[in-house]
This record gives sequence, C-alpha cells and structure tokens, in this order.
Amino acid sequence: MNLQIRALGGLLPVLLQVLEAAVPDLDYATINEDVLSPMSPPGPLYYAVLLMLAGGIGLLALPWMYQIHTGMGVAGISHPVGWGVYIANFVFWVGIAHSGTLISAILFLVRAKWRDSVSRAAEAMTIFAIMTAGLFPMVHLGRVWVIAFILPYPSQRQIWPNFISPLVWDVLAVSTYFTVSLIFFTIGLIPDLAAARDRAEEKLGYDSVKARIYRALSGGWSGAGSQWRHYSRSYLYFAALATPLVISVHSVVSWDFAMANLPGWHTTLFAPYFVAGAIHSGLAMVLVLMIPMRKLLKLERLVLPEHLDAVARTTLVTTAIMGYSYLVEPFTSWYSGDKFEWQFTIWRATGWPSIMFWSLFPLNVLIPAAMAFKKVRQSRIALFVIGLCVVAGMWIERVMLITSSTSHDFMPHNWGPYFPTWVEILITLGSFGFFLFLFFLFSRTLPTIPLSDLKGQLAEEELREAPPCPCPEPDFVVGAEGTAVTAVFPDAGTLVLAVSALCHAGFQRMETFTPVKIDKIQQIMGQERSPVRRWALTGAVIGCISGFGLAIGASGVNGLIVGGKNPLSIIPYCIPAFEGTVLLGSIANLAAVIVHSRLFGTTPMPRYRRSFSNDKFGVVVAGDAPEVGRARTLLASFSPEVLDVAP
Amino acid sequence: MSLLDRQPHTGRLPLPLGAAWLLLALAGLVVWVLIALPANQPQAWRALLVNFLFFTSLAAGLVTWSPIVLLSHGKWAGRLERLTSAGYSFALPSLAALALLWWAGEKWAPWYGKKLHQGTWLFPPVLFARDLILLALFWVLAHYYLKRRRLGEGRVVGAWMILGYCTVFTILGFDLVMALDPVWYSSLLGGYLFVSGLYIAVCGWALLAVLVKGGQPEQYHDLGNLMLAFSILTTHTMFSQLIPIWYENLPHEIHYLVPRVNFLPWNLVSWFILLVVWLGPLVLLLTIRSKRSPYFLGPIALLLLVGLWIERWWLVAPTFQSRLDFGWAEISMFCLLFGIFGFGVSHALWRGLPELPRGGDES
Repeated sequence: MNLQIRALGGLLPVLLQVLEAAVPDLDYATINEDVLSPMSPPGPLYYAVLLMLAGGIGLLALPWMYQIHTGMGVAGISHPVGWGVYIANFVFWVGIAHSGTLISAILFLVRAKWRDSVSRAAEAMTIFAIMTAGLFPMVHLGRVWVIAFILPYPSQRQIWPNFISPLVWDVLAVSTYFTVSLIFFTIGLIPDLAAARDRAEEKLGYDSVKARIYRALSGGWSGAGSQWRHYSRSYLYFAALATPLVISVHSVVSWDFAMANLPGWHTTLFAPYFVAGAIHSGLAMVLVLMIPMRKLLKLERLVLPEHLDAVARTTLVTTAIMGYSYLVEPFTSWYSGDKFEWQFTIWRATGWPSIMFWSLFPLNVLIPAAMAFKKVRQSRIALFVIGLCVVAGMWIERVMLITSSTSHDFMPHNWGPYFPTWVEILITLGSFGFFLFLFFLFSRTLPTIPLSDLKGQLAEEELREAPPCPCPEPDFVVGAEGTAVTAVFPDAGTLVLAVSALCHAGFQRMETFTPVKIDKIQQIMGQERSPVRRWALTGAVIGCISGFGLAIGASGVNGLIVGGKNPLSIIPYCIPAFEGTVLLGSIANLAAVIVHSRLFGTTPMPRYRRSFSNDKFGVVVAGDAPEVGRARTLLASFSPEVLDVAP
Repeated sequence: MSLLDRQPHTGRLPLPLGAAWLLLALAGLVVWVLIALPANQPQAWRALLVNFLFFTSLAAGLVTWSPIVLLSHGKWAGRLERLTSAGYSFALPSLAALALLWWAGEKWAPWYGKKLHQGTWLFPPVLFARDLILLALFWVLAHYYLKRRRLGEGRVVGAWMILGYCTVFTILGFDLVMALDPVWYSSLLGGYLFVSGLYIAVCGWALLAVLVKGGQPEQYHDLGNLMLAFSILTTHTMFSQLIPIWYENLPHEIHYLVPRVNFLPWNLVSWFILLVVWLGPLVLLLTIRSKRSPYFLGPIALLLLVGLWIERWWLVAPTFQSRLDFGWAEISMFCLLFGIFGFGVSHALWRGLPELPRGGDES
C-alpha cells in the first residue's frame, strides 16, 4: 500500500516537466555526417518498403475511384449520420499535424533545447498530415471536381462564400496552416540544404544531379553573418506567428461541431479540448515515428533517449488536459439540466458508441499516464506501444464525437446507427499508407534532423565573453572585388574573439561564415535589429484588414441572412481577420528573409568555402593591401587553421 | 539594496508603511459598513465576492507560478521567483472572505429558498463547504510546497499543487461565477477562471518585480512575454466560450451574453475589457523596449491589473444589475482587501522572502 502511494506520488511531479535534454556529445563534423549520410542512395529494402506503402496509396485511390464512379451510396454515411469516418479522419489528421508546430514553434519560443533533435521530423509530419487531412473533404464531397467552390474567391457566378459559416473558417484555417507550416519547414531547411549541397558537391561532384537539386533548394545560402542576422529574426517571427495559429486551427475545426445545436457537439469546451487532443495525438505520433526512425537511419547518437523522454513528459501535460476534459464534459451535461444533453451522455455510455466511449479514458489518459514512471519512459518499446495506443485512442475519439451526435439527436424517430462500409475502411487505411509513404520518402531525401540547430548547441558552449565594438556599425558585406584575408577557425569561441579584436582595431569591412547562427557576433558589432520585423508587422496588419475586408465585402455582396445572423457580423469575422493576419504576416516575413538574406541565387557568396557549412568558422576582412596585411597579422595571433590572402 | 536581496526573516516592515496599508483596509471597512451595506446589502456583499475572486486569483496564481517555473525547468526567473511566495500571505484572508460570503449567503446569493435542478450540488451549505475545504486544501498544499521548496525540493508537491490550482479554481468558477445564474452553464468557465487567474498573477508578479527593482532587463522581457502569452490564452478561452453561445443564440445561454455585449452600459465595459485586457498587450507589449524597461512594463502591468479587476466585476455584476452601479460598495471593498493584500505582501517582502534554491530532480 505504501509503495502504491509512493508510486502515485511519483506520477505527478513530471506532469509539467519539459526537460532540457543533453546536447549530443559529438563534434560538428560528426553531426554533419550522421545527419546527411542517410541521404545517400538507399538499399533495396528501402525501395521494397516504399513500394509497399505506394500500394497503400492504391488502397486509398482505388476505393475512392470506385466511390466517385458509383456514387456516395457505397459509403456508410446516410441519414441521419451525414458526417462519418471521412470527416473523423480529416479531424484526426489535422490533429496529428499539430505537434509539429508545437515542437517547432512553441518549444522554440520557450527555449526548450530538446526540440532540436525531433523538430524536423515533427515539422515534416505536420506537412504530410495536413496533406492527408486535405484529401478527406474531397473524398467526403463526392463530386470532387467542384472542390473549388469551397474556396473563398470572388466568383462571377455570385457564389460568394458565407463568412459566418464555420466551414468557410475551416477552409481558411487549414489552408493557412498548411501554407505557414510549409514556409516554416522550408525556411528551417535552408542552412541544412546548404550543408547537403556542399557534401554532395564534394562527394558526387559539382554537376551531379543531387548537388544541382540541393543548390537550387538552398538559394545560395552561405551562412554569412549578414544572412544569419535576418534569418534568425525571421525564424523567430515565424515561430511567433505560428504559435497562435496552431491553437486557432483546431479551435476552428472544433467549431464545425460546436456551432451546431446538437447534444454532444454544442459545448464551449470544444476548442481547448480539441487543441489539447490534437497535440496529444501529434506527440504520440512523433513517438511512433521517431523510435523506429532513429534506429533505421542510425540516428541514435543524435536522437537520445533523453529526447524521447522529453516528448513523453510533454505528452503527460496533454494527458492531464484530456483527463480534465473527459471529466468536465459529462459533469456539465448533468449540471445543465438539459434532458437532451443528459440522455445523450447516458446513451453514449450505454448505446452502440459505448465501446468507443469506454475505451477513451484508458487509451488516452490511463495508459499514457504510465509515462509518469521513469522506467516506462526509458523503455523505447513501452513508449512506442503507448504512442500507438494514444494514436488509436484519439482516432476512436474523433469517430465517436463526430458520428454519435447526428446518430442520436433530439427526435427518437430520427435516430439511427452508423457503421463504415468497406470503402470507408479501405480509404481510411489507405490514408495511413499515403502519410507513411510521404514520411518514408522524406527520411532519405532531406535532412531529418536540424543540423544547424544541433550544432548551435555546441557553439553556445564554446562562446566566450567579448567586449562590444566601440566603432560605428561595420559593413557586413564583402564582395568578390578587392583584396581580402580569410581566417578559418575550428570553433565559434575563437571566431567571436577574433571579430571583437578586428572591430576594436577599427576594421570596417568584414564578413563571417558559420554553420550556425551566432547572435553574439551581431551584438559585438552593434548591428541594428533586422528590418524583417517591419515587413512582418506590415504584412500582418494588411492581412488583418484584408481578412475583415474580404468578409465584410462578401456580406455586402450577398446580404443574405443565414441562421438568423446579421450578414455583417463582426464576431465571426474575427476569424478570417486572424487567419489573414498570420498568412500575410508569414508571407511578408518570407519575402523579407529572401530579400535581405539574398536567397534568390544558386551560388554561395564570394570567399565562401564548403567547410563553412560543416565544421569551420571563418572571417573575411576586405580592404586595401596595407589594411589587409594589418588584419592578417592580427588574425594570426588567434592561431587560425587557415589564413589566406586572396587578391 | 533590493528587497529581493534581503535574507529570510531578517527585517521588519516599516511602521509607516504597515500603518498606511492597515489604514486603507480600515477605511475600506468603515465605508463599507457605514455607507455601502445600509445602501444596498446584496450589492455590498457581491462586491466582496468580486474582490475575493480577484485577490484570491492573484495570490493563488502567484504561488502557483513557482512550481510552474520549477517543473518547466525555467531558469530565466532567477531570484524573481522568490516574489511569488509573497502571494501566500493572502491565504488566511482569502479563506476568511469566503467564510464571510457563506455567512452572509442569504443576503446576496441566488440559491436560497429555491428548488434548483442541480439539487444538492447548489445547496448553499454544501456549495460553500466544498469551496472552503478545497481552497483550504490548496493553501495547505502551497504551504507544504514552500516548505519543500526551501529545501531545494518540491517537484512532487509542486505538480500536485498545479493540478490542485486548476481543480480548485475550476470548482470556484463553476460555483461562484457560473452558478450565480443557475440556469446558465458553460463547460469552459472553470478553465477560463484558472487561465485568467494565471494572467492576473503574472501581471502582479511583473509589477512586484518592477516595484522591488530586483529584475534584469532579460527577466522583465520574459515576464512581458509571459503576460503577452497569457493575454492571448485568456482571450482564446473567452472567445471560445462566446462564439458558440453567440452562434446558437439559445435563450438559456445567450441571456448571459446579451446584457454584457448588446446593450448599454455594460457593452462599454466589454469594449474596455476587450481593448485593454484581451487585445491590449498585443499592442502595448509589441516592442522589445516596452518589455525590457521597468518604466514601461510596470505601468502596463498596473493597467492590465486594473482591467482584470474590472473583468472580474464584469463576470459577476451584470447577472444581477442591468445598470452600471459602481459605487461605494465596490470601492470600499477593494480598499479593504487591497489593504490586507498589500500589508501581507509588504510584510513578507520586508521581513525577507524565503530562499527558493534549485535542487536535484526528484522524479
């Protein structure tokens, strides 16, 4: 008994712990090699698995084609259940997409370093999950060729969308989420693609196909100080814009249901409950994908058990929120005194959805709560199994929430059961094949772990205090013309000291090249904050005004009274305005980083060396011959590995 | 020397300052008894409820921020974390205020002499006893947490305390805000109360940090970011409640919203809360300077605290009065509880706050 109490006491302390996991004990070159080597040509087994997953896509495509050909009658959705497994799958996959942004953006903002090892895979998971989710409204529509009708575009046929409808909010929210996640993912990839480019050029030759592809994708990234300065600010603003977006997306999805006057759907708790559930399932999916991936791609040295432990601990927080929601929902149903609500709650626990209903608490709360125990968190098998349980539990929850309310509404003569047909089941299974196929493809074509972030942790440890520059702001850009001296150092700390010394000696034209961002260099050189903030703010303000403008304009054209609402209703129009704010803010931020970091070329900057994307830190000083000579003497005192003077 | 650098239990509250706080409290009490209570008994007692909700959220939220920082491995707070323990000084006054509300329940609460469908749940002795016991249990947990925390431990009890805070303030929200109108219900109201409580507390924490001049610009910056984050979270929680209610327009739900949003004069208060409390930080805390400078952060925190007091009043008052009756009852009761709160916090600060060392991971 005593042991049980102690065990229970141990269950709670970890509920809110977000570990700062240890930095992998590796050097820059090893991290580079470990991350990039899985991108070399895979073996036959990989292709066999890929082929099998492609067969999974066929599992989705063939029944869908059959459904299009035969009609929606082949699906189980019929009166009274008009929203079945397809919509549940949509909600489930949008939910899975949530942890990517949580790990990338929110944990970035709260400076939780353990995110670095898992963020790239989680971001990729977000993109592929939204793509998978995006299939289901099309599958559910039936007549897929009229999908464009749901997009809010000015139409000559006068079918302006109704911005009071949650379905239009949904289109705006999910498409914004996909766009912003894709931009965030792509921007995060750029420094790592440059490393992949340099490695491919070295190993396969400058003109190899891989080198060409990575060169095009990396946009001429050189890791120059003048690029990092704008890049790091821009990344911060992406994170700041994506954080409220992640909360808004599943809130909007939940309002598809909460706005309907149906027992089980119409409840104010739905938005935070859906958001927490989405993150819960997304984190579980991260465990399910990362545990085999680190083994198969030999990433054990980079994705440490501590990182999985941290994901598990974060999942405990969402577990607590899920438990809270599961208790509050039936309580409010009873408290309301609404006989329809209460009979529905009882029916859900005793009628045909009861198997789903009673499985939720064990699968989504009790089983993941076992991760409170250290032994469980240390076992990869246990974490994998728990992850699977939560993924299954959250899918069941979505099916139960979506199908049961329409099946058992206010009028007994309107009640009816729902069971998915073989077409719906195969399409559902096929969606997993589609998702896994994309993820598998990603695992061998792009860096699965953010190289520059991981290396940044090493660089942080090397940094030393250096006095800020007393001279006016130096020019950060060095062109190809003129004489210049290049010094190459093996660590970030020496580079910072060298830059500080150069600055104090009055050198005005210099550039640094590093594989990681080093904010300290900007601090020393007294660089003003990047102007990308003005771009992002301007974009956000224009987006907000445009969102309101679009909704108000549409209401002015239509003038329709839908559901008793005034066509010009500001409360629901806050949603298009919010989505517009985030969307245009992100696009402006993207434009700013492209312009200011000069990411529109394919060749790196002059004086760049390939080792600068791997494990070396360089500084280049330009000037006339005597000035360069003086710089050379000064830099020599820092014992660089290479010290070159080039005309 | 900042008050934060003072060793525990080494100082004394200066007599003039202590006297000033007590005089404020006394003045509040006298005005409340002599003017507010005879004028309108229910409103006077509900003013106690409003101030109880505000100051208890502030005090309990402050104490809860410490385990949140500890368990999330937040190192940014440094010695500022000591300030959170000052909230504990309001433990007994909050319990006394709740006990008084129980004692005078018949004069202000809507549950007496009515047959309600919630039955025993809203039977006044059960309701008040439940709330009193839960709040007392929370403060016991807080006391035990501080004891462990002084030893460099406290993770186990800290986690329980966070769960306890969420549970207790959910129930307080359901009982003392939602149940004021027994027909109306919202499953998110409990969640709203504890999220907004943490928002009130982080504003209070920032204001205290500025007043004791104990923070570094980076710490003010982080506190500013937390205020911004919790303003967004609070706004999201409120919007998530309002929009399904507005959308469905059901009589038993919408009657909570209509007096607050649709009609004068309360809709003006709603606009004020929207612009200051919910959306204000997005503009006020947009720049880095406004977060790093105590000369900006302090006044912003103060403005938000004023706004959040009005928000607590807005949660309670329109349920009972269609007019904007803001008078001696609210002012005097605010002075009484503010005097007590200020005295307790000042006493804790001048006496020397407990050291909160970081220990090993117990889990």
